[in-house]
Amino acid sequence: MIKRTLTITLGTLLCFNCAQAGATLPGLDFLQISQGARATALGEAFTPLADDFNAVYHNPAGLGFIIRPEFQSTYTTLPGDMYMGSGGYLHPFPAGTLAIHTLSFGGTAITRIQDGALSDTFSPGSMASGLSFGFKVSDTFALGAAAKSVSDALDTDFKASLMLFDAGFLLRSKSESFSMGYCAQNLGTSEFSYSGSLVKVKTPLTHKFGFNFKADLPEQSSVINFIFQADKTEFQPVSYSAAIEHWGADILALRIGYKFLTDENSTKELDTLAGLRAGIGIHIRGIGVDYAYQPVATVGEVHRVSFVMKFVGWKVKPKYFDSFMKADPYIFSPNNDGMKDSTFFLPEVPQLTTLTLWKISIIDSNNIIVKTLSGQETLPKIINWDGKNDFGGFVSEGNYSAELYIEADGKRSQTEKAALNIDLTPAVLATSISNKTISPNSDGLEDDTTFYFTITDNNYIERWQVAIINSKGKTVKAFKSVDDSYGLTSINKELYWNGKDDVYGENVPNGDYKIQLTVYDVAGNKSSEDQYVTMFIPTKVEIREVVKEVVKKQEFQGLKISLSSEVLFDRGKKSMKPEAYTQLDKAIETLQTYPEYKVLIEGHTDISESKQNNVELSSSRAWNVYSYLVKKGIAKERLAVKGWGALKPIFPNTTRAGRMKNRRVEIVITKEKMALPVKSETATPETENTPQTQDNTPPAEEAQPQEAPKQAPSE
Amino acid sequence: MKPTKHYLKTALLPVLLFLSANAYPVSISTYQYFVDGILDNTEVVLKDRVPILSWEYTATGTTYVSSFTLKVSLESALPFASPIWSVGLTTNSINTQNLGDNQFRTSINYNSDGLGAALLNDSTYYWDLMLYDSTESTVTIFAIGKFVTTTSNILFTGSAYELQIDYNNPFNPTAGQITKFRYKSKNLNERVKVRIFTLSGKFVKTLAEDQLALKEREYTVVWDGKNYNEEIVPSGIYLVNLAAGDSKGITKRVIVKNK
Repeated sequence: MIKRTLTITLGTLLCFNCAQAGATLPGLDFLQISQGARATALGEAFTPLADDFNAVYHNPAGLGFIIRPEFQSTYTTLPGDMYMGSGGYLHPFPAGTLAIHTLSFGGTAITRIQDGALSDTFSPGSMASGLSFGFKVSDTFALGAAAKSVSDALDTDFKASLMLFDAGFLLRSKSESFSMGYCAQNLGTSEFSYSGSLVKVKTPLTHKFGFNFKADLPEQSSVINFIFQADKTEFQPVSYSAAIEHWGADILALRIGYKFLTDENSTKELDTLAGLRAGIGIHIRGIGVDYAYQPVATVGEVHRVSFVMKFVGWKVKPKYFDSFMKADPYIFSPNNDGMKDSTFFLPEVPQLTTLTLWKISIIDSNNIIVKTLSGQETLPKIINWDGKNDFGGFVSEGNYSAELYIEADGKRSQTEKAALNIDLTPAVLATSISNKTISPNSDGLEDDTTFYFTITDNNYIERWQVAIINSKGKTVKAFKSVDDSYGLTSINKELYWNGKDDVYGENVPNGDYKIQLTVYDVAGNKSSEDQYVTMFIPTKVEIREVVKEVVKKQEFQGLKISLSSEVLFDRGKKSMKPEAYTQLDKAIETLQTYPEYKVLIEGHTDISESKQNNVELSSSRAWNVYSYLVKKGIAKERLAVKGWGALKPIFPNTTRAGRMKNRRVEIVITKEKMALPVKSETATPETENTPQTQDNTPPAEEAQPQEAPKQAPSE
Repeated sequence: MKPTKHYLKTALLPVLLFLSANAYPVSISTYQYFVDGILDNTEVVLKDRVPILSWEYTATGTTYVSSFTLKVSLESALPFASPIWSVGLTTNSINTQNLGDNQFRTSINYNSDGLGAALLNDSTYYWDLMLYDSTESTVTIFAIGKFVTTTSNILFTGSAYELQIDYNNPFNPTAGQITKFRYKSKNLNERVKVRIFTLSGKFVKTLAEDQLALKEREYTVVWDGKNYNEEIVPSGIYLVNLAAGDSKGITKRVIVKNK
């Protein structure tokens, strides 16, 4: 809109500039004399500012922004014993501002001379009276027009009267820091003739276009206007004006402007000062006086004084009343997930007697109304919108605004639009974990793990939670967002877990745990991501328990001590870890308790590696245990070694925990007794590999080892 | 000063003294006649005043112009059989100004001795001037001069310089009418500009550009109602401005009525 207008206007200016050659001067030159002291002092550049009564002479669209009545009268003395009086009154109505104005131009009487003979005197004079109207099309755009009845009496028998029209627009930002205006003046009639004359005279069709930049400096109690304007009257050269107006404390105004004519003859013949305009204004409580000085070419000086009265206490009563509407939540996700699936509009309106209509229009970013909610007679306190458009489908993601419109008591509401955002995209998560297995036994090795996560959302994050969940789905430990996470669009965090649960503060049982991050963004969109950690603490207590358990179940073979490979060896290594020895020493104690029984050392792996590798690894590990036992004084003769590889899993290899349990070395104290060299005859026949069924714990409970072989054959 | 030039001057001095001892008659190289400061003036206003006749000439020689005789007549051919005024006067510092560069201007009011006849309005007059040098043996005869008197009803009453609109106001350039602007500087010789502007201050035409206006003369410029582009201006009020020196000058309204 602005661009188009600009193009048209500049185009028009350029066009007329081209068509100028050989043209004649237009008549009714008095219409080109600047009116109003303030506007004149600003280099006659007032079209883009147009914020007081002078708008009627420079851009009637400016009236649309004026809300207080105003009176102005200007008296101008001109060279050649001429004077000009102008003035008028403007009154704002709800629909727009109307101004009535008149201008009278004249001078002292001139003695008529005809062929050298003096006769009577005559007083040429001109008048222009009119009505102007400006109105706002939107908060930032106004249109205006003026109709002028112009009469020009050059002599008692040489008069003309005609109607001329002005039209303009004014674009002004809400902050008023920028405005742009255009005005076409003296439209309607292109030529006319005076009474008793056949010679046509052109009307001075003028285009005015300019920009204004306003700097409001409250600290300095100053407002400064910077104005730039281009004027083009048909058949005349373009002129450019620039001006600065400084208001101090809204009381004292200082103005200076310069009007530059692009015509060669004018610039040559007129001195540089001819373009200068300067002025001062003093305004107190709406009443003010403005003065403008203008050197007219080298001809003389023009002094203008304007008396201004603004009715500050009075303000146009708008046909509108102010209302307010809030949307809560203003970011939401209509996706039926039970979280912020709709929004609520909370209108706030003054006391209304009769409400005829209320309407909420939901407008998308392309200014298209996607949904209308409306009703009559009663305006609900809360109005719900489920995110569906007028056709029943959900609207897409993006920015929307909701506008409340009310007709009540013969007035209309004026409501700021409530912003809305529909967000269906959950936060994006990224997680990682430092240790996948923890053994919090204070040995300094894998005692804890750190869970890292990053959350990013297109709006912002409302809350997050990290839950450590055991295999039964029960949460043993939870971390929750605190207030400092709320409202962020991105979070980077690391959480440390030492294996303790929330309830007892104790280490959780060995097993696999899920670390689950769950995030809700402000629109209630949920996203989650999991990591896994295995808890395993091979404590001595546990070994004993294992020993007991195993013994009970492995009746046919004898007493079995199962040692986890995790404890004895590093992953994939054959050599034992230092801490393995403590565990083995405990096993050795048991072995020494039953010195007469043969011992089988069996290595097992999971199925992670190839079969051959597994057998090799398991037997190597078994042999390493063998070496240690021998070193510790267990008789070689008692010991037999076997690497089973993955052939004998005790748990399914499908889970991590299962695989871990399958990686083990078993020391089995068999029922087979040693063939002692001393009592070899008696011992040999009794060495039977018979499973013992009745006695679950023979070595532990029977004090005499010899009794056990006796029992064995009996079964 | 270059030494050679100095020696040359010193050497030539006796020669110059010798030459000056012998009369070297005045020689007039250029001359112009003015009435009211205007060459061949056709707008000589007689109302309440007498025209000022003046002539400017370049004179070289060891002698100087010491006197002159002037005859004014309605006859256009020399010699004048019945001049209306005939006068013989010596030049002095009152009636003659040395303008520098051997230029001189002599001015006298018409009929300054009161022995001549009154000038008539709207008539063409001729004048015959003779200059004599100080030896009074050499006579320089000039060609005939001419001026036209005109009727005017305007009055200059001011004390400094003035501008008046004469002849036609309002006037109709479309019908070939003209208007005249008369101006006068009472006490000083001034450089003046006469220009036309529109009401809103736009330039229309220059009628006199830095013209020397001698004091007590009445000058006239004619405007035909055309702008600098030789187009007839539209009907309206125009401003005629006489600017003298740095002053904004005098501005008067002139009305154009194109019919």
